[in-house]
Amino acid sequence: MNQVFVAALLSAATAAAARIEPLGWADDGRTFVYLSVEERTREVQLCPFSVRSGTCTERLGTLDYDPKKPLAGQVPSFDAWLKAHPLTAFGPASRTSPDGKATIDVEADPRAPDRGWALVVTREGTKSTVLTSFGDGLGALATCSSFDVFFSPANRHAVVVVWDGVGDATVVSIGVGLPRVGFFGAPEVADQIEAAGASVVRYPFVRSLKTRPRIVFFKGAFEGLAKKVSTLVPDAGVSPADTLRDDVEVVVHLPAPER
Amino acid sequence: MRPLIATLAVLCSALASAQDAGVLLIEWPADAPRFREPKDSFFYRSEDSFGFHQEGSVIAWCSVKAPCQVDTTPPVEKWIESSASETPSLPNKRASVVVRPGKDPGRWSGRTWTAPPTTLELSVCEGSWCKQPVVVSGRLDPRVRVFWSGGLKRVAWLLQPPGREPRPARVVIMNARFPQAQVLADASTQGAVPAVTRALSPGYVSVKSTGVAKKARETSVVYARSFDLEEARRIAALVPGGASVEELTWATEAEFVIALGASVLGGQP
Repeated sequence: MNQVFVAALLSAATAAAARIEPLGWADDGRTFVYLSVEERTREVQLCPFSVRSGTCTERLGTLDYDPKKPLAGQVPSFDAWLKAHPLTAFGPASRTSPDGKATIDVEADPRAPDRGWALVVTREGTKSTVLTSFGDGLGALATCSSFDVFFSPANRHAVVVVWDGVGDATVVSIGVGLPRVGFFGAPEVADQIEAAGASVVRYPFVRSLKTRPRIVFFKGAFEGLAKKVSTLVPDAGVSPADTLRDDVEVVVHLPAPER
Repeated sequence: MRPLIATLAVLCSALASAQDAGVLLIEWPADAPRFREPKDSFFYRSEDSFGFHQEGSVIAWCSVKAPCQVDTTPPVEKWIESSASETPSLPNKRASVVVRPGKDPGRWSGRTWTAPPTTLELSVCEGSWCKQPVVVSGRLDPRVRVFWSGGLKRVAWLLQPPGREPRPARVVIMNARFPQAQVLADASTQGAVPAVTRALSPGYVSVKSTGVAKKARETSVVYARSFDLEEARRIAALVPGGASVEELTWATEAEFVIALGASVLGGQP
């Protein structure tokens, strides 16, 4: 039955108006670490990119970087950060995950086939569109020239660096692990869900949350997973839903924080 | 700024030779300023030359008849004749952009997928007639800006690259006028001139004048400058009885000369 668990998911994107130099995965397995280099201004930032939040969790920068020299030793704050967070080297340069179960492809965006692109994940024979240039509002994808794919060591996530053809890049994350749970809210609960074997990914639609109770939606045969997840969310109910996006099977809805 | 100007001047000079069909392609160097509103202004120095200035300094202006020139020092007022009108459609003309994805669907190499280049077809239309499109291919943002000259003789296309940083851009200057022709006939074909005028389809080719041909011809001929031969073939197809195309080598009052031959008496094309 797991064959229908097409894992994937969209998360937000962080834009980097510069050249991206991927360094590796941090030891938590869900932080993609890269350098954002602006050669004209000799500016460089070290970005630990969280696949859950779709943003850089820290931004360490300097204005005195020589991209022609080795990074080590140039920026003390980088050295300190990298020493505290040992990196795992990237796996084989391939669009197929190291475990061989997921493959990422690029297709024309069905809503704008003449100018848009869609990222498609195929897992165990089932295809799932996880990101589109227009549908998800990522304008950079509309004019992209290339994608670079980096799978996480545990095969749960992939980071895609989208190049615009003239040197700028946008970094996006997608989930490729099993099963996938759309989630937002307390990170400690997300950690528990992931510890139970799921792939926690950021769910983009939060507008109606304030009026919703705590509830775990599921579709198809994922009731068991939803009940398991609901035990981790205090006071949460479980409800079937056939209208979830096709890139997620279970979604945890929490009320929006009080303002 | 000086290296930029030098680079731009060299590049413009080099690309001036690429002038073809009344179109000038300019690729700005990577470190050139991008066009940002509202501090940037686009203008026509004349009907034939298009330029832009940034915060009061002329950066570059380019003509369909001469190589591009770059200067940052002269007062802007000296160069500006009229502001460019930025709109895709006019009462009787419209700019047409067709975006075509490359035939290659893109390819994977290891973890990297590379997109095919985008192709843009730029044209000017009047009624149902569109001029032969100019095809530009590369890593192009399909958001194209269009600038008409005050006399509507020229249209400049600004092809900006994607991304936020200063990147190469392209300017394409097109002749936006629809063809004007002079029709020449000898005594034997004089009677066919009204029919030819009607056949040239008002709105596409207008007959500016008529005259007397110096010699009799078996077949009608459309004469055009070397960069207008493609347009001439379209006109030739409209001439009753058909016409061949030859290069125009003398000064005329219209860019096309149609010399009627006996073939014009034979029927419709």
